[in-house]
Amino acid sequence: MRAFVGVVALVAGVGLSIAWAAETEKTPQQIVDERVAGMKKMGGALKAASGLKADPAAAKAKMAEAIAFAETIPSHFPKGTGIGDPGVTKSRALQEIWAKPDEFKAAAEAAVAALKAVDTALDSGEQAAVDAAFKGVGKGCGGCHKPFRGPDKD
Amino acid sequence: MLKWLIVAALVAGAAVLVWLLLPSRAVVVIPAGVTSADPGMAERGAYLVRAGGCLTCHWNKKGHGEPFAGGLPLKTPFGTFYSPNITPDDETGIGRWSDEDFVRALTQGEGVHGEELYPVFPYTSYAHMTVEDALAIKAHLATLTPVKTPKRANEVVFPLSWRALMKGWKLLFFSGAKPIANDPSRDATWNRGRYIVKALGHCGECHTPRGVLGEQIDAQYLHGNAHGPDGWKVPALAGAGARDLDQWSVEEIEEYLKSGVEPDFDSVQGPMADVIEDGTKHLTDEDRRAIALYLKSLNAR
Ligand code: HEC
Ligand code: HEC
Ligand code: HEC
Repeated sequence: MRAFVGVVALVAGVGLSIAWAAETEKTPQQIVDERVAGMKKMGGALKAASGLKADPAAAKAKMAEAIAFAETIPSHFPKGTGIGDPGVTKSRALQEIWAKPDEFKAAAEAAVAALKAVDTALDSGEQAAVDAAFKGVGKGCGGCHKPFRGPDKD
Repeated sequence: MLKWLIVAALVAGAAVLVWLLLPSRAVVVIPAGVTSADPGMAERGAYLVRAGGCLTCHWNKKGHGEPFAGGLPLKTPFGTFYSPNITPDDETGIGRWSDEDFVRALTQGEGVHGEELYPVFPYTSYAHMTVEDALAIKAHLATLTPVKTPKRANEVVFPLSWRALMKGWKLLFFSGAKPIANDPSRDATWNRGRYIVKALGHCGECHTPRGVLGEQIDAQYLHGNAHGPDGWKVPALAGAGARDLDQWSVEEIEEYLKSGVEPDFDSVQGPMADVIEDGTKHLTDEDRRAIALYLKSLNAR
């Protein structure tokens, strides 16, 4: 029995350490691909939320999804994962992100604030307020893309 | 026999040379009684200048130039072109141009001295404009404050630096001024949309792929262009690759042309941001709707 538990523990341990290795050894390109997928998913959630005019509760759930990702944006941009960095074959992340880290963080916080404003407006139940808040979201996202995202190239 | 062949080749060569050396003078027909001085033309032109996106090229915004005074570098595979000054300055602008000169430049791609203009100036699209609209644009430009800014010389690769060669290019790819005729089987909105997209808005200049000589491939109109201005990938608005346009609603396209915000709240960047900022943002809701409906019709299945 003891031997059995030991074997299981060993196997589990090896499995874990493999998983761990995979976790730490994400290539720069994988980090890029994951954050781009995250950005797109966030966009999808926002699109869904903006279409759920008749169902504020469902819209709020979608907003929560978007906010959850938006709050983590800076953590998806470790140094060495921008255009021109070794191992990065396709990315639009400009090096300015790491040259002006405070501005990048501030842009992320502004976007989060814009998203939370929609959430608040949804609570108010006023459609005009919701529409106005959604307009702010476009500006919030654009406020970071303009200075920190480069051209879409092949 | 050989002697005659050589003589024939020499004669043909000389004829081509003479043809290339002769200044161009395309015939421009202005309907009787229409001039750029007609009342209301300048106001109409102010709007058309927006629809035509003239400022996206004739304004070196980043270089702190004056609007319409030119000087913007336009990089292409054939070299760098600089937009000229189209304010009504007598020496460096178009102050002394006649109505005919202006219509000839805009719709035939010929300069005031009979020189060929390069097709980076999207006259192949403006050729589809009506003469009245072209004259209204001139009327508006005439109301601007003249700015003295001499044109910076283009830096074009040899032999294309020889303007006369554009005659050959035109022979291959340009069929002259040809205002778009309304399609009676479609409604007025669709026709208006097509006119703005094809003629004024010159959307095909970026959204249509180009051949080796820089010509637009008409059979793939608006099918996207991997090598757009400043290296940007220009998405397809029609055809199999038009993934977004296939999905976006008419209202969503309208919103994009007004604010640059996409349905998923991502926003426009690069050359299209200028098209919106200096152009489509200033159009009426009706015209933006016409563009959107026309684009949607290209994606109808
Ligand atoms: C703090 C900066 C920042 C904020 C805020 C931000 N983004 Fe991004 N986003 C980026 C960067 C940088 C990239 C490019 C990432 C890469 O290619 O490595 C990107 C990429 C994207 C992409 C992928 C585009 C493509 O085709 O490559 C989408 C979609 C997107 N963002 C949507 C959004 C939306 C919607 C918001 C607002 C809710 C938003 N982003 C907020 C920085 C930001
Ligand atoms: C895509 C950029 C672009 C756009 C858009 C554009 N132009 Fe130009 N235009 C040019 C360039 C470049 C030239 C010079 C071409 C050359 O050197 O042969 C030019 C030349 C001209 C000329 C001839 C000037 C001269 O001195 O010979 C006129 C007139 C003119 N443009 C008017 C307009 C008007 C009016 C509009 C809007 C309806 C417009 N352009 C839009 C790039 C542009
Ligand atoms: C100077 C080049 C240029 C011209 C002219 C131009 N576009 Fe664009 N367009 C682009 C680029 C580049 C993009 C991609 C923008 C981005 O990635 O943010 C784009 C994107 C678009 C999109 C979004 C498509 C998508 O799949 O996301 C639409 C719609 C569009 N353009 C319509 C037009 C219309 C209508 C006109 C004419 C009035 C026009 N464009 C003229 C360069 C141009």
